[in-house]
Amino acid sequence: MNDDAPNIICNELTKYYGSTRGIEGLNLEVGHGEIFGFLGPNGAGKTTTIRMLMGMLKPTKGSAHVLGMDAWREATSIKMNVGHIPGDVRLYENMHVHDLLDYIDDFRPGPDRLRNELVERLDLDVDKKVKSLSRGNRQKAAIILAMMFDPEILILDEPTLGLDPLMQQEFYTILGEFRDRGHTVFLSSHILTEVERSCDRIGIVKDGRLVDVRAIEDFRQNKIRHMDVVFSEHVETGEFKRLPQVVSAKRLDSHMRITVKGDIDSLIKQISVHKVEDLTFTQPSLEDFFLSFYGQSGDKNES
Amino acid sequence: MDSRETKMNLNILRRSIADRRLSILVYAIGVAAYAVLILAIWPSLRENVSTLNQLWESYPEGIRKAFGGENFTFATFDGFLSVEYFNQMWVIVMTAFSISIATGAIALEIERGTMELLLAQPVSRRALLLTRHFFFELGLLFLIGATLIPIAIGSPLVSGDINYMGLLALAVPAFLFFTAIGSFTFFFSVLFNSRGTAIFVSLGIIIISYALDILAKINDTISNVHFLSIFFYWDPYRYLHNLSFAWGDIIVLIAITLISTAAAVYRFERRDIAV
Repeated sequence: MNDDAPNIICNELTKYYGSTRGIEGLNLEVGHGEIFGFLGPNGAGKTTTIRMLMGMLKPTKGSAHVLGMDAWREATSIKMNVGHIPGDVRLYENMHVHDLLDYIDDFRPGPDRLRNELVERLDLDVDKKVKSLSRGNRQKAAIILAMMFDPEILILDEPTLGLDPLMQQEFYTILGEFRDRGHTVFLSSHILTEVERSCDRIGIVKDGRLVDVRAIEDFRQNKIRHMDVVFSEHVETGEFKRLPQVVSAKRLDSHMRITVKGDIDSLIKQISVHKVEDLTFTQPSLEDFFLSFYGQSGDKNES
Repeated sequence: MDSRETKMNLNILRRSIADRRLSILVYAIGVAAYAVLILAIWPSLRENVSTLNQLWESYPEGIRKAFGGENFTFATFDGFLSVEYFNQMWVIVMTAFSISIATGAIALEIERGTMELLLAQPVSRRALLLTRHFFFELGLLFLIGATLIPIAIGSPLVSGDINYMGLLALAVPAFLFFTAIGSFTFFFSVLFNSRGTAIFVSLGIIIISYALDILAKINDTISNVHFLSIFFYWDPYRYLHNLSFAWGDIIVLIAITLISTAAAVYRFERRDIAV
């Protein structure tokens, strides 16, 4: 494989389940040393795409290549260097965790370079039986199974499901180290903050179609946020509406809700002119996000 | 083609043995214990052979053909073994084992979602299926041994007039017969996402096949389709008593195994894996 070639290439990748659409006409490239977030609501086609990349599903049309190999026809060879966390983690219930790690480790030659380190960092008790693990600990086990052999590519479907915030943070740190070693991560999520804090680029999928791909910086600059401010004095909304980044400003009971898109510096300066009792940011929902970027239908031209 | 595509996977074989060793041991103890039970009751029954044979002769010819076969007699230990074990309980236990292993190999993994974990590793679907099939065959050999060895050791102790060549002549078609049953069950295991459905269809075919075997022996009008039943190719009295098996039967059983396994591999390599 050419070293400069993208690690993941989807070319008109399409999957239909009978007459039901999974994903349609997906064209995408993910390069070396990149964490790519695949963002979209439930049912958008994220898991279908990931299953085709993993050779679980045969494309109806088009192709997917991973590490230069066809994801369906050369699935076995690809998996020597690919780690995977499925969206719905299912493990062998009657095995001890350490036996499960041994079993999966034995599929690949060489030492499991990161196993002990990951077990320690994710604080997983490997002497327990799988069936006694909590949802979060099952997810930790799945993370270790996918990453312990330090694969060139990680393909992860909603990888932080069930993890507490501390473990999520540790997981993102591990992902960052992974990227810093030049490896590639393809990560699906329906949680905006998850992709924002961990990804270099994001692809936005809606109703089975990729509607946009953009760098995370560009994403941040155009992200919509709600700011709820309680002033000590009466303040008119008009002075905020005049600011170019402010989308709207409304008075709601005791506080003012200001919706801002992109840079918040000028807004913060304007707020600080007044005496402020309280200020909170609300993270936008995925629906807010689609509304701000593409209009309700997901069509960029409508915004 | 990469060697990982076709070679059996020792890791999966070791795991399969570790996972199923207890249940295989239970099956083995069961078939061995039943063999010992049959041996134990033979001395008392032998003293009443003439009564048993009179009772047997009083049955309608169709029933005698269905459950005994041509020239069958209770007067011999092999005849007694054939009717009381190898045509009844043993067939049920070995069929249950075959269906259990074959449906557990693929359909159960798909149903439980663990197939996704397994196929995320560098093992081909073909290698996975063939390894599980090989494990099933190893299990069959173990159970056949667990059945025949106690009979071989115990029959002289109870004055059972068994011929060791007869036991060998039974072992070969027995292995092939249950391998054939397991092989078409593997096909249904690959075809369905649910183990229950795979069991239902496989067991349904076996029951229909058994019914056809019985009816074809009783009713001459359907005897010309008797060959459609897999039990047409299973005749333990002949193996034990005549010390031989029909090569035609052997070829049919091997053909069922090869065709079913090839169809299972073909389908498994092309199907979507979705939880």
